[in-house]
Amino acid sequence: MKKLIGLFIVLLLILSGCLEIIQEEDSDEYRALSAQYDDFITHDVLNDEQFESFINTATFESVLSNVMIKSQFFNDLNSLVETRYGSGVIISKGVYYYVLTTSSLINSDQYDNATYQVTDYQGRITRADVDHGSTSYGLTVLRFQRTLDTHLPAIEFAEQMPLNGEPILEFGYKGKVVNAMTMGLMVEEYVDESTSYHYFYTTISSDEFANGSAIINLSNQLIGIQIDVIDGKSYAISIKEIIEFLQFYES
Amino acid sequence: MKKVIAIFIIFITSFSISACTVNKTYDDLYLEYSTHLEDNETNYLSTIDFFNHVSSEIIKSVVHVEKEIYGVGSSTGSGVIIKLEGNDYYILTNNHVIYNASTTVNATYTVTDYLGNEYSAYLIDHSEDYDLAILRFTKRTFVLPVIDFADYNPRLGINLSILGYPSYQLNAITMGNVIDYAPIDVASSSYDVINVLFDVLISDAPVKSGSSGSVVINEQFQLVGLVYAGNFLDSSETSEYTFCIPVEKIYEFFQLKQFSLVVES
Repeated sequence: MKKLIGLFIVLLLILSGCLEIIQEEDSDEYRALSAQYDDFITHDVLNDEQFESFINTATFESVLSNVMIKSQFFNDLNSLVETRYGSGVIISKGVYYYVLTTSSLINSDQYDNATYQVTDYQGRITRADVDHGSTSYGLTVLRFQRTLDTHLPAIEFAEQMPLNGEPILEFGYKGKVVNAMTMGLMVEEYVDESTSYHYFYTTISSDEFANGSAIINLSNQLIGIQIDVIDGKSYAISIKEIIEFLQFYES
Repeated sequence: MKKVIAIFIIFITSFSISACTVNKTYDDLYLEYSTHLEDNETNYLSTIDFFNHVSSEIIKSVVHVEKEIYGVGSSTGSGVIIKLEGNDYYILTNNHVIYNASTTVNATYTVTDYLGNEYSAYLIDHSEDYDLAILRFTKRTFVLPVIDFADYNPRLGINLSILGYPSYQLNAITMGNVIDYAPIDVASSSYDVINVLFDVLISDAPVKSGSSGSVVINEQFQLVGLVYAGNFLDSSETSEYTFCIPVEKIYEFFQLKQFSLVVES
Protein backbone atom coordinates (compact mmCIF):
# COMPACT_ATOMS: atom_id res chain seq x y z
CA MET A 1 0.00 0.00 0.00
CA LYS A 2 2.87 2.31 0.87
CA LYS A 3 4.39 1.72 -2.54
CA LEU A 4 1.11 2.62 -4.21
CA ILE A 5 0.85 5.83 -2.21
CA GLY A 6 4.46 6.58 -3.17
CA LEU A 7 3.68 6.05 -6.84
CA PHE A 8 0.59 8.22 -6.51
CA ILE A 9 2.65 11.07 -5.00
CA VAL A 10 5.22 10.75 -7.80
CA LEU A 11 2.36 10.88 -10.31
CA LEU A 12 0.99 14.05 -8.69
CA LEU A 13 4.41 15.71 -8.75
CA ILE A 14 4.85 14.89 -12.43
CA LEU A 15 1.38 16.18 -13.25
CA SER A 16 1.91 19.40 -11.27
CA GLY A 17 5.03 20.15 -13.33
CA CYS A 18 3.63 19.08 -16.64
CA LEU A 19 2.35 22.52 -17.62
CA GLU A 20 5.96 23.58 -18.06
CA ILE A 21 6.68 20.94 -20.67
CA ILE A 22 6.80 22.76 -24.01
CA GLN A 23 7.34 20.87 -27.21
CA GLU A 24 8.86 23.37 -29.68
CA GLU A 25 8.26 23.04 -33.41
CA ASP A 26 11.12 21.24 -35.10
CA SER A 27 11.72 23.44 -38.13
CA ASP A 28 14.44 25.78 -39.41
CA GLU A 29 11.88 28.58 -39.66
CA TYR A 30 10.98 28.19 -35.97
CA ARG A 31 14.62 28.02 -34.87
CA ALA A 32 15.48 31.16 -36.85
CA LEU A 33 12.58 33.11 -35.30
CA SER A 34 13.44 31.80 -31.85
CA ALA A 35 17.07 32.93 -32.22
CA GLN A 36 15.90 36.33 -33.49
CA TYR A 37 13.49 36.73 -30.56
CA ASP A 38 16.18 35.75 -28.04
CA ASP A 39 18.59 38.22 -29.63
CA PHE A 40 15.95 40.95 -29.57
CA ILE A 41 15.18 40.39 -25.87
CA THR A 42 18.92 40.53 -25.11
CA HIS A 43 19.15 43.96 -26.78
CA ASP A 44 15.64 45.27 -26.03
CA VAL A 45 15.81 48.99 -25.22
CA LEU A 46 13.08 48.77 -22.55
CA ASN A 47 15.91 48.45 -20.08
CA ASP A 48 17.87 51.72 -19.55
CA GLU A 49 21.21 49.94 -19.47
CA GLN A 50 20.51 48.16 -22.77
CA PHE A 51 19.29 51.39 -24.38
CA GLU A 52 22.49 53.16 -23.32
CA SER A 53 24.57 50.25 -24.59
CA PHE A 54 22.74 50.33 -27.93
CA ILE A 55 23.33 54.08 -28.42
CA ASN A 56 26.96 53.87 -27.25
CA THR A 57 27.67 51.03 -29.68
CA ALA A 58 25.91 52.89 -32.48
CA THR A 59 28.01 56.01 -31.78
CA PHE A 60 31.39 54.33 -31.31
CA GLU A 61 31.05 51.45 -33.79
CA SER A 62 28.17 51.58 -36.29
CA VAL A 63 28.40 55.28 -37.14
CA LEU A 64 32.08 54.89 -38.03
CA SER A 65 30.85 53.14 -41.21
CA ASN A 66 28.78 56.17 -42.18
CA VAL A 67 29.70 58.42 -45.12
CA MET A 68 28.17 61.49 -46.66
CA ILE A 69 28.14 61.49 -50.49
CA LYS A 70 28.31 64.47 -52.81
CA SER A 71 27.64 63.79 -56.51
CA GLN A 72 28.33 66.45 -59.13
CA PHE A 73 27.11 66.16 -62.71
CA PHE A 74 28.56 67.97 -65.73
CA ASN A 75 27.38 68.61 -69.29
CA ASP A 76 29.41 68.23 -72.52
CA LEU A 77 31.00 71.65 -71.90
CA ASN A 78 32.16 70.37 -68.51
CA SER A 79 29.92 72.85 -66.73
CA LEU A 80 28.44 71.82 -63.41
CA VAL A 81 24.74 71.15 -63.96
CA GLU A 82 23.56 69.43 -60.81
CA THR A 83 24.81 68.58 -57.32
CA ARG A 84 23.18 65.89 -55.18
CA TYR A 85 23.85 65.10 -51.52
CA GLY A 86 23.08 61.87 -49.75
CA SER A 87 24.36 59.11 -47.52
CA GLY A 88 26.07 55.75 -47.74
CA VAL A 89 27.52 53.03 -45.56
CA ILE A 90 30.79 51.09 -45.76
CA ILE A 91 29.96 47.43 -46.38
CA SER A 92 33.40 45.92 -47.00
CA LYS A 93 37.04 46.83 -47.30
CA GLY A 94 40.03 45.47 -49.15
CA VAL A 95 42.31 47.59 -51.28
CA TYR A 96 39.40 50.03 -51.30
CA TYR A 97 36.54 50.86 -48.99
CA TYR A 98 33.24 49.87 -50.61
CA VAL A 99 30.22 52.05 -49.91
CA LEU A 100 26.61 51.02 -50.49
CA THR A 101 24.16 53.74 -51.45
CA THR A 102 21.07 54.37 -53.51
CA SER A 103 21.35 54.61 -57.32
CA SER A 104 19.21 57.75 -57.40
CA LEU A 105 22.10 59.63 -55.82
CA ILE A 106 24.66 58.35 -58.31
CA ASN A 107 22.81 57.80 -61.59
CA SER A 108 24.37 60.03 -64.26
CA ASP A 109 22.59 58.75 -67.40
CA GLN A 110 21.41 62.18 -68.52
CA TYR A 111 24.82 63.82 -68.05
CA ASP A 112 28.19 63.56 -69.80
CA ASN A 113 30.34 63.32 -66.73
CA ALA A 114 30.05 62.86 -62.97
CA THR A 115 32.33 63.07 -59.95
CA TYR A 116 31.70 61.65 -56.47
CA GLN A 117 33.05 62.65 -53.07
CA VAL A 118 32.64 60.79 -49.79
CA THR A 119 33.03 62.41 -46.38
CA ASP A 120 33.66 60.00 -43.52
CA TYR A 121 32.39 60.25 -39.92
CA GLN A 122 35.29 62.57 -39.02
CA GLY A 123 34.69 64.90 -41.95
CA ARG A 124 37.59 63.71 -44.15
CA ILE A 125 36.80 64.10 -47.83
CA THR A 126 37.92 61.58 -50.49
CA ARG A 127 37.16 61.15 -54.18
CA ALA A 128 35.14 58.01 -55.00
CA ASP A 129 34.31 56.00 -58.14
CA VAL A 130 31.41 53.79 -59.08
CA ASP A 131 32.29 50.11 -58.58
CA HIS A 132 28.99 48.62 -59.72
CA GLY A 133 25.29 49.35 -59.62
CA SER A 134 21.86 48.09 -60.55
CA THR A 135 18.91 50.21 -61.51
CA SER A 136 16.51 47.34 -60.86
CA TYR A 137 17.65 47.02 -57.24
CA GLY A 138 18.16 50.79 -57.02
CA LEU A 139 21.52 50.21 -55.36
CA THR A 140 25.08 51.28 -56.23
CA VAL A 141 28.46 50.47 -54.71
CA LEU A 142 31.09 53.22 -54.67
CA ARG A 143 34.72 52.61 -53.83
CA PHE A 144 37.34 54.93 -52.41
CA GLN A 145 41.00 54.48 -51.63
CA ARG A 146 42.26 53.55 -48.18
CA THR A 147 44.87 55.78 -46.60
CA LEU A 148 47.27 55.15 -43.76
CA ASP A 149 45.37 57.31 -41.29
CA THR A 150 41.86 56.04 -41.99
CA HIS A 151 40.57 52.94 -40.24
CA LEU A 152 36.91 52.69 -41.06
CA PRO A 153 34.90 49.59 -40.16
CA ALA A 154 32.38 47.82 -42.39
CA ILE A 155 28.84 47.50 -41.06
CA GLU A 156 27.67 44.05 -39.99
CA PHE A 157 24.68 42.55 -41.85
CA ALA A 158 21.54 41.21 -40.14
CA GLU A 159 20.27 37.76 -41.07
CA GLN A 160 16.62 38.48 -40.37
CA MET A 161 14.33 41.47 -40.77
CA PRO A 162 12.85 42.93 -37.58
CA LEU A 163 9.17 42.36 -36.84
CA ASN A 164 6.68 45.20 -37.16
CA GLY A 165 6.93 47.48 -34.14
CA GLU A 166 10.62 46.86 -33.41
CA PRO A 167 12.74 49.95 -32.63
CA ILE A 168 15.35 50.67 -35.31
CA LEU A 169 17.90 53.43 -35.94
CA GLU A 170 19.01 55.24 -39.08
CA PHE A 171 22.29 57.10 -39.44
CA GLY A 172 23.28 59.29 -42.34
CA TYR A 173 23.26 62.87 -43.57
CA LYS A 174 19.68 63.81 -42.62
CA GLY A 175 19.20 67.57 -42.53
CA LYS A 176 22.76 67.90 -43.90
CA VAL A 177 24.05 66.90 -40.45
CA VAL A 178 27.00 64.49 -40.64
CA ASN A 179 26.39 61.35 -38.52
CA ALA A 180 22.76 62.31 -37.82
CA MET A 181 21.09 59.48 -35.89
CA THR A 182 17.31 59.05 -35.83
CA MET A 183 15.26 56.31 -34.20
CA GLY A 184 11.86 54.97 -35.20
CA LEU A 185 9.81 51.81 -35.46
CA MET A 186 9.68 49.20 -38.19
CA VAL A 187 6.21 49.52 -39.74
CA GLU A 188 5.76 46.80 -42.33
CA GLU A 189 7.44 44.95 -45.16
CA TYR A 190 6.19 45.41 -48.69
CA VAL A 191 6.89 43.11 -51.63
CA ASP A 192 6.91 44.71 -55.07
CA GLU A 193 4.77 42.47 -57.30
CA SER A 194 6.72 43.15 -60.49
CA THR A 195 10.20 42.45 -59.07
CA SER A 196 9.41 40.46 -55.88
CA TYR A 197 11.87 42.74 -54.08
CA HIS A 198 11.29 43.41 -50.37
CA TYR A 199 11.03 46.97 -49.08
CA PHE A 200 9.86 48.32 -45.74
CA TYR A 201 8.14 51.34 -44.24
CA THR A 202 9.34 52.94 -41.00
CA THR A 203 8.31 55.73 -38.64
CA ILE A 204 11.79 57.29 -38.92
CA SER A 205 11.44 60.97 -39.69
CA SER A 206 13.69 61.62 -42.70
CA ASP A 207 14.55 63.69 -45.75
CA GLU A 208 16.22 63.32 -49.17
CA PHE A 209 19.72 63.88 -47.73
CA ALA A 210 19.27 60.61 -45.85
CA ASN A 211 18.74 58.62 -49.05
CA GLY A 212 21.39 55.89 -48.93
CA SER A 213 21.44 55.91 -45.11
CA ALA A 214 21.93 52.69 -43.20
CA ILE A 215 19.09 51.41 -41.02
CA ILE A 216 20.14 49.08 -38.20
CA ASN A 217 18.36 46.82 -35.71
CA LEU A 218 18.98 46.78 -31.95
CA SER A 219 21.94 44.45 -32.49
CA ASN A 220 23.56 47.23 -34.55
CA GLN A 221 23.29 45.18 -37.76
CA LEU A 222 22.26 46.53 -41.14
CA ILE A 223 18.65 45.74 -42.05
CA GLY A 224 18.15 48.15 -44.96
CA ILE A 225 19.13 51.22 -46.96
CA GLN A 226 16.84 54.24 -47.27
CA ILE A 227 15.88 54.65 -50.92
CA ASP A 228 13.09 57.19 -50.59
CA VAL A 229 11.07 59.37 -48.24
CA ILE A 230 7.33 58.73 -48.09
CA ASP A 231 5.18 61.18 -46.08
CA GLY A 232 8.32 62.42 -44.34
CA LYS A 233 9.31 58.91 -43.25
CA SER A 234 12.18 56.70 -44.33
CA TYR A 235 11.32 53.99 -46.88
CA ALA A 236 14.00 51.35 -47.42
CA ILE A 237 15.10 48.33 -49.39
CA SER A 238 15.47 45.22 -47.26
CA ILE A 239 18.69 43.41 -46.30
CA LYS A 240 17.48 40.37 -48.29
CA GLU A 241 17.74 42.36 -51.52
CA ILE A 242 21.01 43.99 -50.48
CA ILE A 243 22.63 40.58 -49.96
CA GLU A 244 21.15 39.29 -53.24
CA PHE A 245 22.43 42.37 -55.10
CA LEU A 246 25.94 42.02 -53.64
CA GLN A 247 26.09 38.26 -54.26
CA PHE A 248 25.00 38.75 -57.87
CA TYR A 249 27.97 41.06 -58.52
CA GLU A 250 30.42 38.95 -56.51
CA SER A 251 29.59 35.93 -58.69
CA MET B 1 -2.76 -7.63 -8.61
CA LYS B 2 0.06 -5.31 -7.64
CA LYS B 3 1.59 -5.65 -11.07
CA VAL B 4 -1.69 -4.68 -12.71
CA ILE B 5 -1.98 -1.59 -10.50
CA ALA B 6 1.65 -0.64 -11.23
CA ILE B 7 1.11 -1.00 -14.98
CA PHE B 8 -2.06 1.04 -14.65
CA ILE B 9 -0.24 3.84 -12.82
CA ILE B 10 2.59 3.85 -15.37
CA PHE B 11 0.04 3.98 -18.15
CA ILE B 12 -1.83 6.86 -16.50
CA THR B 13 1.46 8.72 -15.91
CA SER B 14 2.59 8.34 -19.52
CA PHE B 15 -0.81 9.34 -20.81
CA SER B 16 -0.95 12.40 -18.54
CA ILE B 17 2.51 13.60 -19.53
CA SER B 18 1.79 13.26 -23.23
CA ALA B 19 -1.61 14.90 -22.82
CA CYS B 20 -0.32 17.93 -20.94
CA THR B 21 2.70 18.69 -23.14
CA VAL B 22 2.20 22.08 -24.84
CA ASN B 23 3.13 22.22 -28.49
CA LYS B 24 4.60 25.58 -29.52
CA THR B 25 4.43 26.29 -33.23
CA TYR B 26 6.04 29.02 -35.35
CA ASP B 27 2.73 30.93 -35.26
CA ASP B 28 2.60 30.74 -31.44
CA LEU B 29 6.15 32.11 -31.17
CA TYR B 30 5.44 34.83 -33.74
CA LEU B 31 2.35 35.85 -31.76
CA GLU B 32 4.35 35.97 -28.50
CA TYR B 33 7.05 38.12 -30.17
CA SER B 34 4.48 40.47 -31.75
CA THR B 35 2.52 40.76 -28.51
CA HIS B 36 5.71 41.76 -26.67
CA LEU B 37 6.25 44.54 -29.24
CA GLU B 38 2.63 45.71 -29.13
CA ASP B 39 2.50 45.70 -25.32
CA ASN B 40 5.63 47.85 -25.12
CA GLU B 41 4.93 50.23 -28.02
CA THR B 42 4.26 53.20 -25.72
CA ASN B 43 7.58 52.67 -23.92
CA TYR B 44 9.44 52.35 -27.21
CA LEU B 45 7.87 55.55 -28.53
CA SER B 46 8.81 57.44 -25.38
CA THR B 47 12.45 56.25 -25.66
CA ILE B 48 12.52 57.11 -29.37
CA ASP B 49 11.05 60.61 -28.80
CA PHE B 50 13.64 61.30 -26.11
CA PHE B 51 16.55 60.18 -28.24
CA ASN B 52 15.35 61.97 -31.38
CA HIS B 53 15.01 65.23 -29.44
CA VAL B 54 18.60 64.88 -28.21
CA SER B 55 19.95 63.91 -31.65
CA SER B 56 18.03 66.44 -33.72
CA GLU B 57 17.52 69.45 -31.38
CA ILE B 58 19.98 69.48 -28.48
CA ILE B 59 22.87 68.60 -30.83
CA LYS B 60 22.38 72.02 -32.49
CA SER B 61 23.74 73.75 -29.36
CA VAL B 62 26.96 71.74 -29.40
CA VAL B 63 30.04 73.10 -31.19
CA HIS B 64 33.52 71.99 -32.12
CA VAL B 65 36.36 74.21 -30.84
CA GLU B 66 39.74 74.36 -32.54
CA LYS B 67 42.71 76.23 -31.10
CA GLU B 68 45.64 77.15 -33.29
CA ILE B 69 48.89 78.63 -32.05
CA TYR B 70 51.29 79.74 -34.73
CA GLY B 71 54.46 77.67 -34.62
CA VAL B 72 53.00 75.26 -32.05
CA GLY B 73 50.10 73.59 -33.85
CA SER B 74 46.42 73.00 -33.28
CA SER B 75 44.23 71.03 -30.88
CA THR B 76 40.50 70.51 -30.62
CA GLY B 77 37.68 70.04 -28.14
CA SER B 78 33.96 70.63 -27.80
CA GLY B 79 31.78 73.39 -26.39
CA VAL B 80 28.15 74.36 -25.91
CA ILE B 81 26.23 77.53 -26.68
CA ILE B 82 25.09 79.04 -23.36
CA LYS B 83 23.90 82.51 -24.33
CA LEU B 84 22.85 84.67 -27.27
CA GLU B 85 23.07 88.40 -26.62
CA GLY B 86 22.62 90.78 -29.51
CA ASN B 87 24.69 89.31 -32.31
CA ASP B 88 27.01 87.37 -30.03
CA TYR B 89 26.91 83.74 -29.05
CA TYR B 90 28.74 82.70 -25.88
CA ILE B 91 30.05 79.20 -25.53
CA LEU B 92 31.32 77.23 -22.55
CA THR B 93 34.32 74.94 -22.94
CA ASN B 94 37.33 73.81 -20.89
CA ASN B 95 40.29 75.95 -19.90
CA HIS B 96 42.64 73.23 -21.17
CA VAL B 97 40.93 73.35 -24.59
CA ILE B 98 41.72 77.05 -25.03
CA TYR B 99 44.92 77.20 -22.96
CA ASN B 100 47.87 78.99 -24.51
CA ALA B 101 51.21 78.54 -22.77
CA SER B 102 52.95 81.04 -25.04
CA THR B 103 53.32 84.57 -23.78
CA THR B 104 54.41 85.87 -27.15
CA VAL B 105 52.10 84.22 -29.66
CA ASN B 106 48.32 84.60 -29.54
CA ALA B 107 46.05 81.62 -29.99
CA THR B 108 43.29 81.79 -32.57
CA TYR B 109 40.02 79.95 -32.01
CA THR B 110 37.62 78.54 -34.60
CA VAL B 111 34.19 77.31 -33.62
CA THR B 112 32.31 74.95 -35.94
CA ASP B 113 28.55 74.40 -35.59
CA TYR B 114 26.64 71.12 -36.12
CA LEU B 115 26.29 71.85 -39.86
CA GLY B 116 29.99 72.48 -40.34
CA ASN B 117 29.83 76.32 -40.50
CA GLU B 118 32.99 77.90 -39.13
CA TYR B 119 33.25 81.07 -37.00
CA SER B 120 36.21 82.95 -35.53
CA ALA B 121 35.89 83.03 -31.75
CA TYR B 122 37.42 85.16 -28.99
CA LEU B 123 38.32 84.30 -25.42
CA ILE B 124 36.18 86.11 -22.83
CA ASP B 125 37.32 84.53 -19.59
CA HIS B 126 38.78 81.34 -18.13
CA SER B 127 39.86 79.60 -14.93
CA GLU B 128 42.20 76.68 -14.30
CA ASP B 129 40.55 76.16 -10.88
CA TYR B 130 37.31 75.18 -12.63
CA ASP B 131 38.87 74.11 -15.96
CA LEU B 132 36.27 76.30 -17.65
CA ALA B 133 36.42 79.01 -20.30
CA ILE B 134 33.98 81.24 -22.14
CA LEU B 135 34.39 82.09 -25.82
CA ARG B 136 32.35 84.45 -27.98
CA PHE B 137 31.58 84.40 -31.68
CA THR B 138 29.37 86.49 -33.93
CA LYS B 139 26.00 85.24 -35.10
CA ARG B 140 25.15 84.95 -38.78
CA THR B 141 21.66 84.79 -40.26
CA PHE B 142 21.47 81.17 -39.22
CA VAL B 143 20.13 80.78 -35.64
CA LEU B 144 21.66 78.28 -33.24
CA PRO B 145 19.78 77.28 -30.08
CA VAL B 146 21.03 78.01 -26.56
CA ILE B 147 21.17 75.14 -24.04
CA ASP B 148 19.02 75.25 -20.88
CA PHE B 149 20.72 74.90 -17.50
CA ALA B 150 19.60 72.68 -14.62
CA ASP B 151 19.41 74.44 -11.23
CA TYR B 152 21.16 71.71 -9.25
CA ASN B 153 23.66 68.90 -9.66
CA PRO B 154 22.04 65.62 -10.76
CA ARG B 155 21.50 62.95 -8.11
CA LEU B 156 23.35 59.61 -8.17
CA GLY B 157 21.85 57.17 -10.67
CA ILE B 158 20.28 59.84 -12.90
CA ASN B 159 20.47 59.09 -16.65
CA LEU B 160 22.79 61.37 -18.63
CA SER B 161 23.56 62.01 -22.29
CA ILE B 162 26.90 63.41 -23.45
CA LEU B 163 27.15 65.31 -26.74
CA GLY B 164 30.36 66.43 -28.38
CA TYR B 165 33.06 65.91 -30.97
CA PRO B 166 35.34 63.17 -29.59
CA SER B 167 38.51 62.46 -31.61
CA TYR B 168 37.16 64.56 -34.49
CA GLN B 169 33.98 62.43 -34.67
CA LEU B 170 31.13 64.73 -35.64
CA ASN B 171 27.92 64.97 -33.60
CA ALA B 172 28.60 62.07 -31.21
CA ILE B 173 26.12 61.05 -28.50
CA THR B 174 26.77 58.63 -25.63
CA MET B 175 24.71 57.73 -22.58
CA GLY B 176 25.20 56.60 -19.00
CA ASN B 177 24.47 57.52 -15.38
CA VAL B 178 25.80 59.61 -12.51
CA ILE B 179 27.75 57.12 -10.43
CA ASP B 180 29.59 59.33 -7.93
CA TYR B 181 30.95 62.74 -6.90
CA ALA B 182 34.61 62.69 -5.88
CA PRO B 183 37.87 64.62 -6.29
CA ILE B 184 40.00 63.49 -9.25
CA ASP B 185 43.71 64.04 -9.73
CA VAL B 186 44.39 64.76 -13.39
CA ALA B 187 48.06 63.89 -13.06
CA SER B 188 48.84 64.47 -16.72
CA SER B 189 48.07 68.18 -16.52
CA SER B 190 50.05 71.04 -15.03
CA TYR B 191 48.31 73.14 -12.37
CA ASP B 192 48.11 76.27 -14.48
CA VAL B 193 45.99 74.33 -17.00
CA ILE B 194 43.77 72.19 -14.76
CA ASN B 195 43.67 72.73 -11.01
CA VAL B 196 40.25 71.32 -10.13
CA LEU B 197 40.23 70.47 -6.42
CA PHE B 198 36.50 70.03 -5.73
CA ASP B 199 34.32 66.90 -6.10
CA VAL B 200 33.51 66.34 -9.76
CA LEU B 201 30.65 64.44 -11.35
CA ILE B 202 31.69 60.91 -12.34
CA SER B 203 29.68 59.10 -15.00
CA ASP B 204 29.88 55.67 -16.61
CA ALA B 205 28.91 57.14 -20.00
CA PRO B 206 31.89 56.36 -22.25
CA VAL B 207 33.72 59.10 -24.14
CA LYS B 208 36.74 59.11 -26.40
CA SER B 209 39.86 61.15 -25.94
CA GLY B 210 39.28 64.64 -27.25
CA SER B 211 35.80 64.87 -25.69
CA SER B 212 36.79 67.77 -23.44
CA GLY B 213 34.09 70.43 -23.43
CA SER B 214 31.31 67.98 -24.33
CA VAL B 215 27.99 68.91 -22.76
CA VAL B 216 26.33 66.62 -20.22
CA ILE B 217 22.51 66.81 -20.11
CA ASN B 218 19.81 65.24 -17.95
CA GLU B 219 16.50 63.72 -19.10
CA GLN B 220 14.93 67.21 -19.14
CA PHE B 221 17.54 68.21 -21.77
CA GLN B 222 19.22 70.63 -19.32
CA LEU B 223 22.96 71.10 -18.93
CA VAL B 224 24.14 69.39 -15.73
CA GLY B 225 27.86 69.33 -16.44
CA LEU B 226 30.76 69.71 -18.82
CA VAL B 227 33.22 66.88 -19.56
CA TYR B 228 36.82 67.73 -18.66
CA ALA B 229 38.57 64.35 -18.35
CA GLY B 230 38.20 60.59 -18.65
CA ASN B 231 40.18 57.52 -17.65
CA PHE B 232 41.39 55.86 -20.80
CA LEU B 233 42.52 52.34 -19.99
CA ASP B 234 44.18 51.49 -23.29
CA SER B 235 44.73 52.60 -26.83
CA SER B 236 41.08 51.95 -27.70
CA GLU B 237 40.64 55.56 -26.61
CA THR B 238 37.28 54.94 -25.00
CA SER B 239 37.01 55.84 -21.33
CA GLU B 240 35.59 53.64 -18.63
CA TYR B 241 34.58 56.69 -16.58
CA THR B 242 33.99 60.28 -17.56
CA PHE B 243 34.74 63.21 -15.25
CA CYS B 244 32.64 66.36 -15.50
CA ILE B 245 32.48 69.81 -13.91
CA PRO B 246 29.04 69.78 -12.22
CA VAL B 247 26.54 72.53 -12.99
CA GLU B 248 26.68 74.08 -9.50
CA LYS B 249 30.44 74.61 -9.94
CA ILE B 250 29.74 76.13 -13.37
CA TYR B 251 27.41 78.65 -11.67
CA GLU B 252 30.18 79.37 -9.15
CA PHE B 253 32.61 80.02 -12.03
CA PHE B 254 30.09 82.40 -13.68
CA GLN B 255 29.68 84.28 -10.40
CA LEU B 256 33.43 84.55 -9.93
CA LYS B 257 33.83 85.91 -13.44
CA GLN B 258 30.70 88.10 -13.15
CA PHE B 259 29.21 86.44 -16.19
CA SER B 260 25.43 86.28 -16.35
CA LEU B 261 23.28 83.89 -18.37
CA VAL B 262 20.51 86.49 -18.31
CA VAL B 263 20.26 88.46 -21.55
CA GLU B 264 20.24 92.22 -20.95
CA SER B 265 17.58 94.02 -22.95
